[in-house]
Amino acid sequence: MCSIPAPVLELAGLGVRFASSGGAIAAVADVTLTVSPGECVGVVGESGAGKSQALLAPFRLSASRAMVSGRAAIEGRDLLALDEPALDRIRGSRVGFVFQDPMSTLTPHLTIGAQLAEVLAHHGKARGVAARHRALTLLERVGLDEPAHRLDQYPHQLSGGQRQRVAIALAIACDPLLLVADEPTTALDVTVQAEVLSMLGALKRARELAIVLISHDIGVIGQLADRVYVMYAGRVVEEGAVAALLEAPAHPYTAALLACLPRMDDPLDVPLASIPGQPPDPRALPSGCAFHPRCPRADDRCRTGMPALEARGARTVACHHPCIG
Amino acid sequence: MSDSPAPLLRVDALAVRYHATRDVLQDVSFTVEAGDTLGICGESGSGKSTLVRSLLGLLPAGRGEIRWHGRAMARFGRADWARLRRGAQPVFQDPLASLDPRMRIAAILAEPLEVHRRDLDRAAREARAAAQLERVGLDAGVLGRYPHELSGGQCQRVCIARAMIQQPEVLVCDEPVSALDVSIQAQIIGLLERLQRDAGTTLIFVSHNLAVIRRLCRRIIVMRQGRIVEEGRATEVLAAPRHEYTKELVAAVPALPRRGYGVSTSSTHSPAGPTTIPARRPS
Repeated sequence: MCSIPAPVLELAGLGVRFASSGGAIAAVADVTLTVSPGECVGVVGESGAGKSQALLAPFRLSASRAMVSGRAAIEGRDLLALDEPALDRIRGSRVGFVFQDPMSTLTPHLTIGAQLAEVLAHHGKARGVAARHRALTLLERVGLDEPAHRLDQYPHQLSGGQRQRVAIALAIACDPLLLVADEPTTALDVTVQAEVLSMLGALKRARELAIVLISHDIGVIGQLADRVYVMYAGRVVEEGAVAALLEAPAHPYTAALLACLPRMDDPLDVPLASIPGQPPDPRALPSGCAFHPRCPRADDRCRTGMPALEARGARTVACHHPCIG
Repeated sequence: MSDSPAPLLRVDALAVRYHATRDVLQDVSFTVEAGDTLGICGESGSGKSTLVRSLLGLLPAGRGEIRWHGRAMARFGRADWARLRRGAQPVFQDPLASLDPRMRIAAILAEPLEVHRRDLDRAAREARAAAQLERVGLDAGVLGRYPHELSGGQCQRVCIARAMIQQPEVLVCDEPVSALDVSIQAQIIGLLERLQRDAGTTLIFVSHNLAVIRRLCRRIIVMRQGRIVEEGRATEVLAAPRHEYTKELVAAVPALPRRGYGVSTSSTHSPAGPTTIPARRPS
């Protein structure tokens, strides 16, 4: 096969820990993840699974007391070795970020145009009239209606969906290689969510933009991602091409997550499956496989030995008894 | 015809306006018979929550009429209000915000009985609280805890237990599973399904999630900008929507591949309930 392009983002053996009175708490343990140019990688898991920490802590966008270990690289450059000014040149320029709540991303007292101009000037991309022209192009690219009019508006004058489009325009202002989108559509109505996801898909194709899509909603991931990582209790438990993984999940947790999502074509005489118990507290993780107390396939081996993440065909899975051969 | 008893709830041409200019609800009319399950869906700003608050009498009366058991809320007397407060129990989206942070779970569950069931003595109230807790799948160990010591899903179970302990005629849920993790959401949906089936409680269920409504509700109302744009049997409306807006909503639901992997056949049933996780081959 031809040579594989160097990954845009590479995490290897990544750990994120927080000091606490009862000793260090591991929010993320041994996460290995790669994103190729132009690829959309989904990261799915429930609250506390460590998905945001794994993707944000290497960029020092997590709490300052987070202790990050392992390796994290952007275009081959070691992120963990960079000083703050060097990291600042990467954040917002080579890598853009979009979060759940656009109102907390946008500055309330600056017009949309001024905020876009600020980002462009900060990274030395454009100033003055050139910045305004560029800002207009960006708003068009994210599909905002009446872009010229929006430049002079303030965030509070826009709807939630319009604000998220502006937040995405800010994130892609400097033509990044990679967009990290953390629950970007969770606060939006379903019809707006569908529009924003299709807009992100168009950006990905038109700009060869790599995207990391972090979401608790595996349905959202399925709309946009090429590949997906499933996280549970701070670790990756399964990884694979999104269509194959949704079709035939290998890890019992992925299978359970898919099973308990109500669907529009479910037969109503079959009760909805559910996962007993709740996601574990990172301060008191179960022994062995962290999913074993909730897993119908668990046996003694699962209670004592943590399964390693291993390749099984085109899939990677950390399970002693995966659902696929 | 006219001797048939009044329906549990009848809403007739309800209109609510905020700040004298903004119409939040316009010409909303529907009926809920006792024992029925009604889903109300729509996007933000469609008026779902305003409607729910109006039904519960938590907002000043709008124009039009809301009748519970044939009695118009506008002419409610003290006894009518007492009956509604006990008979229509709300469950809201944020369970932690619905529970007093300074009260233990035991006191939270006993409080409605102290108000509405003065005939019960302390021991009887506590016994009911413990029994109800078991019905929502929590063990007695949480009775001595405070809300902040419980997870979101546990808090929502407490909210449902507090609502059900008063043996209400109708449970009015406003996005009760939206703030919960997917695995916990499924547990709460299962719980509501079971409670509805066992106690026959009428359910009014507000959600933006069509698949959840389809599972829990026999009938559906689709709202947009304060108006009902479509209503009918949930399965029929969602399978073949007629209004353009409903079509848009249905089309926007992220599609997943059909469940192909061993959908609960009896041989893979676990004692805990159905599961679509295939059972492990004996080694």
